[in-house]
Parts: sequence; structure tokens; C-alpha cells
Amino acid sequence: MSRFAGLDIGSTATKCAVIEDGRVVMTVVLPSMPDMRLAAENALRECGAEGLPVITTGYGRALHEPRLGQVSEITALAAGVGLVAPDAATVVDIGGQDSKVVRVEAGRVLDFAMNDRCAAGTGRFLEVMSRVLHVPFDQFDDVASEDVEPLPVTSTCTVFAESEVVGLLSLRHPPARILKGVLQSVCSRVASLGRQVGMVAPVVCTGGTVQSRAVVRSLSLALGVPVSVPPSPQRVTAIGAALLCARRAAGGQLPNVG
Amino acid sequence: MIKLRANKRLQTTIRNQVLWTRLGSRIGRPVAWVTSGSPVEMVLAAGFIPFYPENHAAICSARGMALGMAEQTEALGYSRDLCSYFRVDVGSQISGNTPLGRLVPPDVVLVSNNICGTVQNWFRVTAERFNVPLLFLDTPFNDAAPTENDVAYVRDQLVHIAAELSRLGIRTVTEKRLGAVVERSRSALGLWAEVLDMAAEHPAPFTSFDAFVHMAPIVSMRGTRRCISYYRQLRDEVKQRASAGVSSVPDERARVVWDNIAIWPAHKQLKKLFENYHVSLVADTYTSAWTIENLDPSDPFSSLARVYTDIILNHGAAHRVKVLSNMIKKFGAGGFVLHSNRSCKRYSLGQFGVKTALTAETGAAGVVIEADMADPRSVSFDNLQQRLVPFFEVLGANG
Repeated sequence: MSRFAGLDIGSTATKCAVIEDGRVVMTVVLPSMPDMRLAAENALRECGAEGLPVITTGYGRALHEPRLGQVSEITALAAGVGLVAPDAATVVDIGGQDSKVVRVEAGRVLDFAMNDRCAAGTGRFLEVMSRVLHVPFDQFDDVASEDVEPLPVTSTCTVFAESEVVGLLSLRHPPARILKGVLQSVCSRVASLGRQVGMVAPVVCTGGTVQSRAVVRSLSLALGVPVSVPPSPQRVTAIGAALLCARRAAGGQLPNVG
Repeated sequence: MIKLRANKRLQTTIRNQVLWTRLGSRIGRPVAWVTSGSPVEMVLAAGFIPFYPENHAAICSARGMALGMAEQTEALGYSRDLCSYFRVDVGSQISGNTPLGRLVPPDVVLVSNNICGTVQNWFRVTAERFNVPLLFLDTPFNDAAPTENDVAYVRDQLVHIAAELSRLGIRTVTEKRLGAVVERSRSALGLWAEVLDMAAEHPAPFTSFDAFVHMAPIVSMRGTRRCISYYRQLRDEVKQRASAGVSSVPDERARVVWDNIAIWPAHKQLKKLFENYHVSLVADTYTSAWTIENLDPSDPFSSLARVYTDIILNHGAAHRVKVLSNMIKKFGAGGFVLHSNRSCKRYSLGQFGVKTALTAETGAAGVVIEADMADPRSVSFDNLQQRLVPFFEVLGANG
């Protein structure tokens, strides 16, 4: 059998990737809610991966059976980046429920930092703000492209930031300025994680949120370094899990996979 | 995971110590509440029975009783940002709640600022509550090793404290009497060091998760014969394990060292997580704080002054890097875990710098995890797992 699957069951989206001879042949992204288990099954089916050996990752990684193994999303992300952006030295990933900065080398993790028990600095923060501002995620780029100064929004707490944004709206501040402030807030949190491990170029960013150019621009400003986005940034972790699956099936060492 | 036979003995030993405190106080033995970094040898020489509020707070937390106690203290207006051991202890004092049946109030309290500044205020509050004398030992913070001036300064205070304890206690603290207690401390500390050192064997027959539990007597009973006898048995058992090649975690694949106090609210879950990933926690800066080598029974005052000034928490971050780096090499560890302990600022300050320096010096991978030693509201096992699992994977990949 030469095809292998990786399944990234995230807090917001479930991603599946199938690889063959080290090349990605198929990927799928589905919403994880309301039923993560079902989302995982559907993603596998839509990817034509039913019956293939699979390694799971992401918050819901223990939910899917049978599997060849499970691995943390940090390890899977590094493996995926090793394929899609082999020169990368640092990966910034803003996922639905956490954000992380990972120092990588040839598909392996050297060091990492993650945000702690808090939605600030994650995709969830952007989701909440998108709802309050009535600006859907796919319109972020249009709204944030207006040439206006960002309004500062707290970067410490999603709940506080939400009431802050409601207050700014009631004062009739333009949504474009608030949105830019919101993006700055998220990205400054991520930048402080980056300082923990050291931002070594080249830097790539991944995760569902960086499909927005406005997010990427804001991230690059906050980090103070240029960042690039690989194709399908949301699927890199699933691709990494599929690569690890192939390696495992070939008898290679896959560390501590339960 | 094969349980240590000594686990049972530990329970009996702790229970007997509690009973002895109660019985002793009934037959006229005075009780001294002391900090974990106090020269307990002094109170023992004066005939006091020592009691450790810090140890007690750890026990309350490990038994899941910490939250209610902490909340009672907070209701008095103390901030949740204060040390959780303090909050648990005061909560226990107010409510009378304890897993140990009943606490015996102090006749004197002895505190040293060698472990932190919080204990200074904590024990003042305690002394006021029970209306008892407070004896305070000021130890200068170390840039490098304690200077001769530092030692002389601390020694003078010890002589003064000895006079006060002789007056308040049932025996006069003479150099000879103190020397005998110091000799017993030295034996127990030596045995404990032997136990911890055996984790350098591959695979480790004993881990810090065992040490976190079996440290109780060395903290609270050193200077007594029962303490020596306890550690002799533990040493023999661990030695047997080592020579039989018994591993504490099944199929050991990676070895790491630990900085800071244990996370009592998640102790069992963490132990299980390490086992599941076949990672041995081979050494830590916490339990090894009680492996002092240079106690000298022939010159007890000076040697106590030196030893209690020189403890790890009375040093800066550069010293921590040195201690951890030696530990990583001695125990053959590939990684280190720095517990950023919300309750213990003195222990947690500068950990990100320590992490960078330590990796540069040893090549070992490190991770900082955020939690608390006792307050379950500041401990999320999920968050800990989120960080530890990828870290374990890094170790496997490197190994």
C-alpha cells in the first residue's frame, strides 16, 4: 500500500490529507462542529482515505479509531512544513483554539511556544470579533485594506476585548479601524510567543486564519520579519500527519506515538 | 509501574509523626512551627516538636482539600495572587480543617527568608494569630557563595535564636546537643542523596515523582533517628531495584529533569502521563535541595549558618543554570521541564532566560509549563498535556 492519510481534528475545522510517494494527492477541510467524530469520518471518506493507514493529530486526535497512531499537532506541523516549505526555520501557526510558534529544522521540532489557557491570540478571538463587528472572515481583507490607523484593542482577554469593541462601535468608530486594532491585538500576542523561542528567518505561517492576507500583513508587522504563506496553510498539519504515517508504516521511528 | 514497598512505610511514618506531635504536646513538649528552610536542628535541640505548615499545605493539596481552605483565606481579603501554601495554611488555621485529624498550635514560630519573602509575612500572621513569639533568621542573598561575613552574620543570629529557644523550650541548646542533632541530620541527608543519585542509573529505578512523595520525612523529620531509619530502608530498596535493573517507568525512552515545586493538584495525572510516554523524571531542584553535604557536627553554629544561607532559592538565576546543567549531565537527561509556579515567584523568576541558557550550555531541549503547586484553579491538566506531549516527542525524535 503506498497511500497514507493524516487526519487533523481541530477545534474549528477537521482536515484530512492523503499522500502517495511523498506527494500530496488529496486534501479536505470540513467544519469540526457539531460532531467531531462524524467530521473525522466524513473527512476521511471525502478524501478517499477510508481503509488507509492514518495518523491523527489535533485536539480531537484521540476520538478517531482505528488509527496507526496519534501525534501532537506541533510534531505534525513541523513534519508538514518540512514538505511544503523545507527551508523554513520558524513556523507561526494561528489555529482556532491556540497559537504556536515552532522552531523547525528538516521537518523536526527544535523548540516551541504555545499560548496558554486563553482565547486571546487565537482564531477564536477573531471569530468573536468578526461577529461583533458584523464583518465575516472572508471580508477581512477588503475592510482592513482601507488606509486608516488601527484603534488599539486590549490583547490580554477576549471577553474584555469584546466589550471594548462594542464600546468603540457605540462611539461610531469605523469598523475598519477597529478591525485593524483587533488584528494587531491578536498578532502582538503571537509575537510575544515568538520572542520566547526566537524568530529565525525564513518564517512561514500556517493555520486557517492566515488565509486572510490582512492577518498575514498584521502578523509580519508585529513580528518585524517578512512571513510567507505556503499553499493551503490550513492543511499543513494534516499533511504532516500523513507523512509521519508513511514513515511509521515503513518501520521508521515515530517518537512516543500512543 | 511497580510500587515501592516504602510507600506503606511512608504513610505509617507520617501518621506516627502526627500522633507524636499530638501526644508530645499533651505531655509537655513544646511545638515549633517552622519553614522548610529553617534550621530545624535548633528547635529539636531545645526539645521542641517541629511542624511544617508548607508540608501540611502540600498534603492538603494532594488530598484535594486546598481549594476550600484557600477560599477561606481569600474571604479575609488576601489576594489570590499570594502563595497558595500560605492561603491553604491560613484557611486551615481558621477552619480547623486538616487531613491530619487535628493540628497542634505553635508555642513558637521560626522563619528564615532564605526561601522567600512571603514566609516572613506568613509566619508573622501566624505568630499574631496564636500570640506566640516569632524568631526570624535573616540570610543574605548570594551572588556567588556565602562570604565569611555572611556566615558570621547568620551565625550570630543563630546564637541569639539558640538562647531564645533554650528559654522557651525544655532544654538548653548547647554546642554539644546541637552537634548531635546536626549529626543525625547529616546522616539522613546523606541517605536521601544516595536515594536520589540512584536515578542516574539507566533505566532509573526511582524518579522525582517518587521523590516528591518520599521527601516528606527529610523535610519535616531530619535530625531525628526515625528519619535515618526511614531513609536507610528506602535506600536499600532502591538499591535493590537498581541492581536488578528495575525501571520506575515501563520501557524508559527519555530522561528529563525538573525545576520548581511539584504540581500537587495534578501529581497523579502527570505521573501517569510521563509513564505513558516512557519518560523518566530523573532529578529535580526541589527534592535535591535536601542533599546538603557540608554539615559539620563539630562546628554546628557556623556550619548551619553556611548551609542555610547557601540553599538554591537564596541564589540567582545563574546559579540555577549551573545546578540544572550539572543535573542534566550527571543524570544523563535529554531535556528539562521548568514549572513556572504561579505561587512561587522566587522560584519562577527568570525561567525563560534559564531555559535559553541551559539549552545553549547542554544542548538539552526544554519546556516551560505554567501551573501552581497547590491551587487547583491555576492548574489545567489539558494545558500541561498540550505542552508536554510535543516536548516528549521532541525528545524521542532527538534520541
